[in-house]
Amino acid sequence: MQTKKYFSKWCQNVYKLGLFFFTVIVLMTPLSVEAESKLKFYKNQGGDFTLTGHHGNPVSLLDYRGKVVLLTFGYTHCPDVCPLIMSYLQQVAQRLGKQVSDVQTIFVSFDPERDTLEQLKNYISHFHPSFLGLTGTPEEIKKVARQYRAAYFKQNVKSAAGYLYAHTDYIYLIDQQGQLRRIYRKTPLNKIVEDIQYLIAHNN
Amino acid sequence: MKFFTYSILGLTGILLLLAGCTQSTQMSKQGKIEVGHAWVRAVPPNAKTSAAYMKLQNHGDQEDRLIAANSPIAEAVELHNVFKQGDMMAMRPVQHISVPAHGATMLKPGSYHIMLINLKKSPKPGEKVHLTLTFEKAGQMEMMVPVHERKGKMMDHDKMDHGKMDKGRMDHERKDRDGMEKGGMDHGGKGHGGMK
Repeated sequence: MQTKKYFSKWCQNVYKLGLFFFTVIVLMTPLSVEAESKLKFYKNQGGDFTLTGHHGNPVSLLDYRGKVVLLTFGYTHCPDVCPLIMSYLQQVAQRLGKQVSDVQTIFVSFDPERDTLEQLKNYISHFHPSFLGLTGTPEEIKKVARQYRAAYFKQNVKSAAGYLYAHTDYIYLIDQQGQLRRIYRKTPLNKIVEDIQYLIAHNN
Repeated sequence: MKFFTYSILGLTGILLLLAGCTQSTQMSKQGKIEVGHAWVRAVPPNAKTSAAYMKLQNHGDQEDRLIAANSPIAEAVELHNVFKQGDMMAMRPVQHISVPAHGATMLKPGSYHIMLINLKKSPKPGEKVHLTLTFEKAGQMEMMVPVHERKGKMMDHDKMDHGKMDKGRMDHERKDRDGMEKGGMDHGGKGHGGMK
């Protein structure tokens, strides 16, 4: 009788313990795997490039090995979509706090006609002092855009703003080895921050 | 006697009701547009363009249209819409922005907006921008619109409609955490302009 009682108590305890560990494991798994599972390696998309930085010097993606790079394409005359993206990237930088030194945000202008280096510099650094604006000849920019499958074209619309561009509004996440790992579009802020922090934590 | 008093009271009530109805019909005939949650995007000092966003509410029985906008800070002001063209976001000027009867139209990032072109002075956070809106039926409306870095910052400056403010701030924080500036401007203080 006594052993039977102990046995049932023991069974109960094991059951409780099992339940506890199961819950812990179930709860922990998505937390640790989530960021990683969404990051992938893109084939035939992304890669190194060299353009002109807003300080006038050539800038290559290779210069940022060891840093996480956030890349986006736009133009400073853009009244709605680009400021939205830039303000979004600004929030990402603010959210990262000190870790922002491990990240380089790059804005490639595809409007070299109007985006002079001076214009680009003043515009970009307004959002964050660490942000970098890049431009080049129309051909150079086109080549980089093709690599990343970013698209843009001058729209045929009448506006006092002169010409306007239709363009993709992606943000590209590039890891410390220069590999494209994720493409964002209207992605919640905390997801991007999470991915960046994952890359920083898992950088060998 | 009692019956007489009650019938007088009843008649007065009916008259009052009728009077009230006439009053409200008159208002809707004139058209009633209310502007809420208005803000202008702060832009870098050398930026050539900015945009104004707001909620246009039509309390009238007839559709109204925003047909023009003006501001002393810009050389030109146009009404624009953003739409998706394949993978791309494209923008085009529109002739008008319609506000349905007893409905609302949101002017928000990635959608309808009032585009301020060739800025004479770049809007800075904390400032207010003078804006004149012209509606087809409601006529002209003048307002001072606060400047913000992004949607949500407006909460710091908007002193009106406190009841909604706290809820708005919570909504904002949630949105700020969960997403981009997308989504309706369904929070914030109310109204920077009244009908003339």
